[in-house]
Amino acid sequence: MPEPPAIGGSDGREARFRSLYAGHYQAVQAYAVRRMQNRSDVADVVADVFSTAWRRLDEVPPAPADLLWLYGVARRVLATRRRGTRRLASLIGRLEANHDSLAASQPAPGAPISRVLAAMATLRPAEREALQLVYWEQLSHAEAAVVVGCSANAVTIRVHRAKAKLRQALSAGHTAGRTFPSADQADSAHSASYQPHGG
Amino acid sequence: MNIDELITAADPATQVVLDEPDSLAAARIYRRIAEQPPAGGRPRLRLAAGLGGAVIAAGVAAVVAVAVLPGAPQAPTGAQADAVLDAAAVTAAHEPAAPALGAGHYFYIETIETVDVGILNSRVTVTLKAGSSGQGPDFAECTMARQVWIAADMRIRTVVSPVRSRPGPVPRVCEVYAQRLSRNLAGPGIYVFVHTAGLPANPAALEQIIEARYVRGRPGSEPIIMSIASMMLQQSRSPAVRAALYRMLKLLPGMHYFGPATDRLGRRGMAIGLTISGLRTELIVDPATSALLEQFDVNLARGQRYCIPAHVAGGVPVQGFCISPPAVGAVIGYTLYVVSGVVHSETATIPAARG
Repeated sequence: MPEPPAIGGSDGREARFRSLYAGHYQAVQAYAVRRMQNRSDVADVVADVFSTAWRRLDEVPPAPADLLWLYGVARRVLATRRRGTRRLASLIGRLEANHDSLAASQPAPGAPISRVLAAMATLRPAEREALQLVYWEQLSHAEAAVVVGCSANAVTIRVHRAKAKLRQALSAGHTAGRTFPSADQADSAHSASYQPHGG
Repeated sequence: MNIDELITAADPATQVVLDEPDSLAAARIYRRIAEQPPAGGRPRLRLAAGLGGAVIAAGVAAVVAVAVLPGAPQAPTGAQADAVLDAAAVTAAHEPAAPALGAGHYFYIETIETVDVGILNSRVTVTLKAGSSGQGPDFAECTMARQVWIAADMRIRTVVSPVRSRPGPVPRVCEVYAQRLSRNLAGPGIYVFVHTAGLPANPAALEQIIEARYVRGRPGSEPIIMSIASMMLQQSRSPAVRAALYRMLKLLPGMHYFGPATDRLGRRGMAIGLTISGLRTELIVDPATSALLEQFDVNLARGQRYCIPAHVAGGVPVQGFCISPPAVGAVIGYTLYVVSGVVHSETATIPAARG
């Protein structure tokens, strides 16, 4: 690996950030991959999340809660990007991280997984996020509650409702054969204020 | 599968290969973040206010010397490259601002470069074979001297002339190509004019501009960014922008320090560079003057002999030939940044410093 540059500040501060970055880079990247249609923007989100962490390092809680904190930032970064009201890309400029390795591999339309994704895209955003945090980020309900800022009970309810809707959708075959929309696209339908960002 | 298994299996992150934390992509993002100030807005690098530029440059140069001189405790080569670039940036930032070009004044730039004239052009091939020592088209590379005069109104005069780079006469193809390049500002493979007006004095913004204008998402772009930055360093007359260009080079992942070096004019500097796809691109920088002396490429890949059978091109029979790959470690192209500065006529030149 190329030698990372020194980041200004005390050695302890820099060491802590390095540890945070190395320990959670992939988790944050995966979080973004799961929620973004445009894979080329994943690097922007990852950079935004860790830039925020660097600026607010004193607020980052110790492990294991640090990852939840990062997820919470990532969630807000994505929400802001979707709203298009702020151009977070300008925070650190357009990123050109080489993401050839992030080769998109969408399942074929009509495949069971595609149907699940299509059904998930029709969920309410809060329900979908709770479901994803629990199943994809593999958080407990209490941990997911920290990320989204609600009670654990609320997460339990959202997950329960989401699963019920998924079962219904899959059994009814309402989504069979559809090309699944991403969360980005689904949220654009949910939000009148959504405007695609120009990259 | 039950609903739980279906949801889990639908995880898009399992459909892609995530970057490792020690990947180039991760390193690049990290470097971007490194340019951000921490909480409170304190910049990453702040120079001591009130100190003279020469004092600062001397101090940083001393730090570089400690970091890179033989016998000194060895820092990682990446850190050493950063030290060289930091020193060059500090020196550049404290150079006097160049006055605006007045009427009758010109910004003069002189380079010596190798130019690939294209071995697959059959007419060139025939010329080359006739003019060379019979070893095949080994004269496909010409060495050219390029002189550029830029007026205040951005009128540009260019003179390109072939340079004899080996015993014997200059190949005819190089003379022809030089004439063509004299009329063409952006000849293929040769030093091009880059617009430096309005460039920001911010490393990340500079990289963004270079990527947007010249790279456009091409993978393995670091050597391209280095080349464009080199041209901008030569052509920009803003101390702040030149300093930012040196700091921008620090953002490129994989930058290493290769030790003290002497360019083809005998000038001494320090070599830094990076390796992408079997090609090592190096810059020789003199941190004490902030001068970029030379850029060159070193082949590190073992290529295969490449043969073109006899054929007819444009009705002209072309004899078949083979091209041997460059040896591992061979320099396969270079640009010498000879001199630049303001002159008082569009034919005046500046004597080049020699080592």
